[in-house]
Amino acid sequence: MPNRQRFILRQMEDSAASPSDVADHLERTPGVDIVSQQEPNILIEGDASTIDSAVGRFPGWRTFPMRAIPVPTTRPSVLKPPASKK
Amino acid sequence: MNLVQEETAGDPGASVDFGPAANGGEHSTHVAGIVGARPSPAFPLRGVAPGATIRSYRVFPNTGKGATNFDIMNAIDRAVKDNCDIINLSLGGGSEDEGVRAAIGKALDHGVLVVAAAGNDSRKAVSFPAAFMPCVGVSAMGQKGSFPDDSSEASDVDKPFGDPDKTCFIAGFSNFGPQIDLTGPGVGIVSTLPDDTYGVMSGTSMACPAVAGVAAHLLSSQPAIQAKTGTERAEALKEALARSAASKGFGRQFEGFGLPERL
Repeated sequence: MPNRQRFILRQMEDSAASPSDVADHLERTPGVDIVSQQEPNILIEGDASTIDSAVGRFPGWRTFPMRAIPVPTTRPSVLKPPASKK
Repeated sequence: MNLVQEETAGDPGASVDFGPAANGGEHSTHVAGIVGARPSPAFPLRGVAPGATIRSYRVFPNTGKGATNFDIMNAIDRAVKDNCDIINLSLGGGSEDEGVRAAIGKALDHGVLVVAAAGNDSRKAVSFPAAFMPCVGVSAMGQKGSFPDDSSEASDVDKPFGDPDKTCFIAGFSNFGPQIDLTGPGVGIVSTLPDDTYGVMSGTSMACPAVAGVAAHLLSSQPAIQAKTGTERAEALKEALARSAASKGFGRQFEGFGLPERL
């Protein structure tokens, strides 16, 4: 079974195919699922080669792998107990 | 105002993932207060730019897990679409992400200044997106005497110290490097928390909105910058920020141009 991953498609140029046209095409592409859309980005899931060939026909669009960004650490944390005071 | 509730109204899935700030949004409430808290007799906290209009684009869900670059790209795109002037990114980590970079690039093309936190990895390289050169990368500094000697903030005191003011220091948790443009107060910062309370947090996440607040003040007071468009506008505001700063003597890779005058 192909290794399914999530990718972000982004419309990089205003003159490129519209997000709705690209989404329509992807919905008809076997092995590719649209997870979420918010113009100009579309989050999709599928194997990389299928997605590459599906998106390759749309110049002005780019594919980026989905990545996680950690939650900021801003609460004070004590790495070692304070020295006891006499 | 709880923008999360407003923006997820009618979308049950989003409401589950991004609930009210009281359920997990204290980081952004604290950040927002640093930019624009408006003092009242009952709640005398004042942000750096209390006249600024603030919009919140939440990217960290209630689960406590991280955001995705998809979330962050959408948030930046939406802020640009909403005609925001300045985007504060109190977030980051990992290697450069081309998707977020593309969204930031589009923001800059529309004249939007992007201010980003250097990261809290204890003297490691500046995190992305602060490391993206067009952004304003912000480190965190502190000042001895602004917190109790036996508080946990005391563990953030580290070299380099200021020159000549030796009470100032770059927080031990702050990242550093050539991409740092400015430093801001980020140790033992008191700001707003959900449910009409306030509290202390430390981080480059706190230094970043202080600098963003100065940028808002500069923009509102300089019609010449307001009149510009596109990348020229963002670049002019970034230059005005640099001109407003004074070195604290920490060294270029720790403070960039220094601490903005109003902080």
